[in-house]
Parts: sequence; C-alpha cells; structure tokens
Amino acid sequence: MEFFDEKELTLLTSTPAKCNTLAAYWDEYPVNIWSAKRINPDEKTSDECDDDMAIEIGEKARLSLLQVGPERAGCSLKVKYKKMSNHSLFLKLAYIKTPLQNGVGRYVGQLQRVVLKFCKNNGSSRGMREFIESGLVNFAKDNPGVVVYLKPRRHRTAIIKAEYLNGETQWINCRNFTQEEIAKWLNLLKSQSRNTTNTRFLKLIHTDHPSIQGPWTPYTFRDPKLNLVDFPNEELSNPPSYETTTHEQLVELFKKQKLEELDDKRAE
Amino acid sequence: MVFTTAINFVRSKGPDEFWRKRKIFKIAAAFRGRSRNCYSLAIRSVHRALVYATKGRKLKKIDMANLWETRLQAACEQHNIGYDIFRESLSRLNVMLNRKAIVDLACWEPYTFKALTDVARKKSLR
Repeated sequence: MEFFDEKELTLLTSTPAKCNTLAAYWDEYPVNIWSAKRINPDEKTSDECDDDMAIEIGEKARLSLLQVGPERAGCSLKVKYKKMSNHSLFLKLAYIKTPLQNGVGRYVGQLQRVVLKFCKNNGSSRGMREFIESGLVNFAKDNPGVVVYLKPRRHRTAIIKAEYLNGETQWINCRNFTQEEIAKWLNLLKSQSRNTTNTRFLKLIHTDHPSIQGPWTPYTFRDPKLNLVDFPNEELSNPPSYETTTHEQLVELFKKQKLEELDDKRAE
Repeated sequence: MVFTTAINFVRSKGPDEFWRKRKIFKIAAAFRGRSRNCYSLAIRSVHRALVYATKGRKLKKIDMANLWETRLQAACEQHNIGYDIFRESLSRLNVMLNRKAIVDLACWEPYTFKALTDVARKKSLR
C-alpha cells in the first residue's frame, strides 16, 4: 500500500534545506505514528484488527504529516515537550535520536576521545590498571576513530572522561571498578552519540487502546444469568456450599481405587 | 581622573542573582501563598519538596509492589487458585513473568490471565 501520493511527496519535500530527506523531516518533528485507532469501535474483530490498524497507522501518519508540512514552511520551530510532573525537573525531556541520520547510510562513531585517569599506586585504581594492561590495546585497535589518552595522576581516583563529536563531555568515576566494568562503560560511551546523563528519554510507544480482550470488570467472570436476577435473592445470599454431590463422591472413590491398584502393581 | 578604588566599596554579590532565584521560583511555581513569590520562603519549601521527592522515589517502588501483590491475590482468588501455588507453578514451568506483567495481563487481558491460572492449576495437580 502506498503511504504517500505525489502531492504529499512534493509537500513533504518542499521544506527548507535543513530537512532534505523524509528521515530528517521526521527527525525534526517526531510524530506519533504508532497510535492506532479502530475504524469501527463497535466491531471487535480480533482477526481483522491488525490489518485495520495497519491501514489506520498509514492514514494517521499521512494526515499528521500533511498537517505539520504546510505550517512548517517558512518558519523555524522547535518542538517543545511539556513536562507533566515534577519528578524530572533537572532532566531535559527528549526523544532518542541520532545526529544527521548516523547509521542510515554510513555509521560514524560519535566518541572522539577518551581519557583514562588513574593512580599508579592506589588500590581503587586497580581495575583501571588491569584494564589498561589487558583490554585497552584491543579497545584502541577496534576503535581507530577514538583517541585514547592515559593520564597517571597520583592520589586521585580512576576516571574515564569522554568527549564526543558534538563537543559534549562526560566523566565516569571508576573508583573500585573491575576491569570488566570499565570495559562495559567504555562500550557504552562508544555507542552513545552524546552525554545522556541529563536527559530523560521519552518513549515512542503509545496506544489509545491498551486492552484487546477488554479490560477486567467485576462482571467479566460472573455468570451472565445474574443479569436477569432480581436482588435481593435468597439463593444467592446464602453462603456457597462446597459439599460434593454423590456422583462426584463416587467418581472420587473410583479414582482412588484405581490409584491404589496402580500402587499395588508397582509394589509387586 | 580614574578612581579605581571607589568601585571596590560597592558590595555586590554578583550579577547572577536573578537567575539563581529564578531556578528556585520555577520549581515553586505551583506552591501555595507567599512560598511561590518570596525567595526566602520559597527556598525552604523547595528544599523540602526536593527531599520529599528523593524519599518518594523509594516509597513509590514499595507502594507499587504492594499494589501488585494485592491485585494478584485478588485475581487468583477469583479464579479459585492459591497465590503461592500460582506463582510456584508458573516458576516451575519456566514462565518468568514478574508481578507487574502478570497484573497488567489480569487487568487488561483477563482471559489470558485466566488461561495462565488454568495452566498453573494443571501443573500443580500433576
């Protein structure tokens, strides 16, 4: 199914030079294309659900992009995210993204240089020293685009300081780390494109319909006969009886007998 | 004549007072009464609020865990299976669903949860 007509394509492509590709456009204006609406809310057919949702996603994406497109032309907008609650006052909210569609064509590692500061003598730098002896050379070989500096500093804790291509720096205190931990943190820094410690990442997942089977109600597992009952009802007001009927008792006795026979056979 | 010493007699804390205080007022924007407008009151309220926020992060986790426990107990009771039996059977079947996931199913996908209880019951009877 085609998501965009020629008209829409021209609309989308007639954006300022900043957004030359669709991906760049979506990067500038992250659109929630995952919210799906049922076409007919009355018909709950689970088999057809997926196809309908797929079509709706496409429609919604088209419509929302069309809405954003013409407004965008000629003005510079920054999408602001309203914070809902107090708990991340000091973290800025952002969707996860890459600079200049890194990875779509070519991937360029965003880590520029890494400085490993450690003490030559103190025990808290032991892991760092071990890492330098064993895993550092391999790390440097595997990442020719990252410059590694070693700074032995007496009476100071072990630190990894990373600098990214966008100029941001990040430092991690490696006091009493093992060499594996240091390797893992270095891997994380290598895969990041910026310092993310001050951001809270928003999720692109959203749904207007969190329930497919229908959410639980007190009547979900109740007998539908209750719909026709006049309350107060004497029968139902009595406590439930857990006495087994004679039929059930006989069945139980029979099963017991069978088990006993089996046990006797096994004993022999 | 250039008077270079006179300027030293001006006692100013610095040029950034407005922005220092603005950081506090931003957090205190929704507070009641003078705490949102007067700095010395606001800073007290803001400090307390931030302390409550740090404490609350731990409490939230405890509260959610208790909520999931209660809900799971109730859901198991509705389907006539014991909570302990249910969890034990699921773990023996290697169904590694934590309480949060199971409770989400019980609330939003009740028939799936019923199926889980049936499976657990069968396992427990064997």
